Amino acid sequence: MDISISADVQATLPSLIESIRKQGSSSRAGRTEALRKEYQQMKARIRESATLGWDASPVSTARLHAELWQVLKNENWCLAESRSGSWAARLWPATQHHNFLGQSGGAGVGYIAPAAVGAALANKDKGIITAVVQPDGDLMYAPGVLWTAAHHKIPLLSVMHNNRAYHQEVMHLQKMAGLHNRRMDTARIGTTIEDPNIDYAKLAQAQGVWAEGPITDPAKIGPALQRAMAVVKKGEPALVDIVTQGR
Amino acid sequence: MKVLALLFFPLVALAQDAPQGSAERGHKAFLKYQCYTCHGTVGQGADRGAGPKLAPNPFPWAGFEFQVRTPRQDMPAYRQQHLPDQDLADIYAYVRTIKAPPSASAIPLLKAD
Repeated sequence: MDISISADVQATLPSLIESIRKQGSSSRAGRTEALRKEYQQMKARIRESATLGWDASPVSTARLHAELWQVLKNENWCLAESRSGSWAARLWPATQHHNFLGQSGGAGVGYIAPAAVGAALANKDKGIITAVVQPDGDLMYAPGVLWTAAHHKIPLLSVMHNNRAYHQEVMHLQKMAGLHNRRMDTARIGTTIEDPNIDYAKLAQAQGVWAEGPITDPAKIGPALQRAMAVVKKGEPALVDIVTQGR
Repeated sequence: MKVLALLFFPLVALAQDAPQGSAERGHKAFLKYQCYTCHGTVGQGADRGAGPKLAPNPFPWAGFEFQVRTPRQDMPAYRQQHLPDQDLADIYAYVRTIKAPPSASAIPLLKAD
């Protein structure tokens, strides 16, 4: 039920301000402390959930993001593509408006790689280090952007989220098979990117981009990212190929 | 205490009701039936709500079986004709063997900044 109430802001505001003042600063401080505690507990729960599959191979996406954070956390950083609910959004503290640049807006595949090169170009003169967690299927829509990055010396740190599939499609076809009472093990037909596996380091190197990988041992990610970051800090693109879990 | 014991009895009974299965065969079945696509290869769950974690401490057998056969939310239904009972029992045996990881406080990369 909607009820129309006539009101006048000028008339109401003094009463509202007076009412808030009566609540006093002490209760506000208490509320702030309660919220801070709740936030810290939430962050602790997220860190605990990131431990699951920590040493798994293929590499867990939580591990990938935790490793990437180690090379970004002391920089003025930007993640060129970011999604709510992702490990980056959950694990990394964002304090600047340019930290997370959002996504395509239409769940489109093929957006991330060129968008990341564009973001890195825009950030280059601002001293912002640009990174991207680059899905393999997305890169294959326009792999030539790597040449663009090399040719124009655009410093972009690309970390492959290489699950060797159009993984969203794998899961979708499993769901559809379930709905239609069909076998689900056929969901990988036409949705995986394997046999042969694509060597993304070679793909990048062939276009003049420094690259390492594929990495399947999570212990090797950290050192590779540090080498890649050294290249990016020199003003050039770098790519590290990490073979990951599906999501 | 007696009341608590009575309350927990059904869960204990359900866990004990799990059928015999082989964790080794279950690991292969977990991959064959592509459970890992949404739940990860070690049952850790997946990013952005793709699938919840399965282990450590999986559901009691009755709940596990019910969710696989007649799932709620986005999970596809794995019916007996596509996932035989013994394979499901093996998968459950595998999931139960997955150990808890070290806590975040023991992993330098996950310590609070």
